[in-house]
Amino acid sequence: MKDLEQKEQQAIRNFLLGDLDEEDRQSLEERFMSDSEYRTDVLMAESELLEAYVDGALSEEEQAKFRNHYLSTPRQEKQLRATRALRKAAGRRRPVQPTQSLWQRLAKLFNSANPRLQFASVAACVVIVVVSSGLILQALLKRGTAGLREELAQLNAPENLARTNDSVLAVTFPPVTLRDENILPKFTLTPGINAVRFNVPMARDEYPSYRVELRTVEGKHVVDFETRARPQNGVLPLQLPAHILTPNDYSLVIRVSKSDGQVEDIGDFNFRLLPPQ
Amino acid sequence: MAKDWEDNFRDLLRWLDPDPERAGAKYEEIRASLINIFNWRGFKNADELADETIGRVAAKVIEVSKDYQGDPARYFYAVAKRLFFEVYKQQQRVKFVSTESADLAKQENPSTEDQQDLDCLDECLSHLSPADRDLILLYYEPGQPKIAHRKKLAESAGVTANGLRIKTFRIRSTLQACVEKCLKTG
Repeated sequence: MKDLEQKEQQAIRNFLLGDLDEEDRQSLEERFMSDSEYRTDVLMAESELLEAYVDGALSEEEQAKFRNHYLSTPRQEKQLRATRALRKAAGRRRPVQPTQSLWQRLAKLFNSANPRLQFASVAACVVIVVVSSGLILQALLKRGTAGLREELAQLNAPENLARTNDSVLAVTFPPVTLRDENILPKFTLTPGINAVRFNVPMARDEYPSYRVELRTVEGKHVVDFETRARPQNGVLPLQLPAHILTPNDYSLVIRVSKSDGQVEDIGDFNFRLLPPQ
Repeated sequence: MAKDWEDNFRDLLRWLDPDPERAGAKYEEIRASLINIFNWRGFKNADELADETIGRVAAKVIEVSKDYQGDPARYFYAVAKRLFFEVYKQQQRVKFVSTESADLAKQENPSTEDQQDLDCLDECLSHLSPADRDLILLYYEPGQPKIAHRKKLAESAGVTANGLRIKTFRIRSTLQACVEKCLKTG
């Protein structure tokens, strides 16, 4: 199985470097057109080939083929420029490391001749590490959640719901009367898709807002948010960022607050995200 | 004439899928795939050739869709194949004169072009979610032993190495499209 994958990867690389005969080339191109998983494989291999070239990880022969064949159009040249820029931008990140002088100072304390001072230093360090790890973890979790909330709010803002966008995949749930396992919406996320727009059938427009929860069919909570989107022509649009979805069966649970303050489930809509490969 | 084309195009979309949204998505997928294929074959005008292919399919869609069995994408490819052999005959393979060798020399002194690329990339990175931005920058961080670094990154992100590869590829595709757009307009 691994051998087959490696052979396929090699064939794709040969294709990109112009090293396949016409017949093999055509059969690869035909598959690229009609098999979305394979398409992702080829595009990923292209991205990795660019990276390998920028890193100088190609053999001399491959480098020559890359320059003479692959870089034969402005689009490919742009891809290369973007890869280089990405490497440079990533290189600007400074790894967070304690300064040498701090370590030196700590080392001095640990190596102190006074055993009481040694014990006190170790104890103080343990407390500092435990407390700061907890604070950092809390801050990271908070930051991640806040970022996602902001992203959900943006995606579901009226102006974004009104806009059509190539990077948003539309998934329409069938009306409640037609729902069954056989027509469970199924889809894959292809490259370039940043968000999924779910068109949820909603016969009436009678609530000021909807509370939406996404969970896996096993009941694991993924995310929840509130939307003030209005149903249009019997459809309530909801948008979720693609990066929170991994292949699985999911349920979108819609809840509303009634006038008496009670929260009520008004529907759950199942879908299946298929793996890309 | 324009009216005919519009009718053909509507028929073409119907052939791709009776649901207009799905048909639109399929159309975009086919067009993007054709552009890739023409590019990989070295055609500088890949976009035009992809549109020419679609135009030819649209012109015949009524008769073709009656009997055609299977994925319409394959039919588009068959038409594209005829087109690139026609173009091959008309012209020698169009060679884009790569500036790569010049690029290699100027890497030590970043040029305006490099700066433009970086500015666009920064702009596009700012449109990503913070989590995606951090992930892609960590993924492409230079100077790390690549396999070990990415394995560690996958573990900390709670995904498999292949899952990370797919995720970063998606982020990268988004960035790529954004950078290209930015360079065109900038």
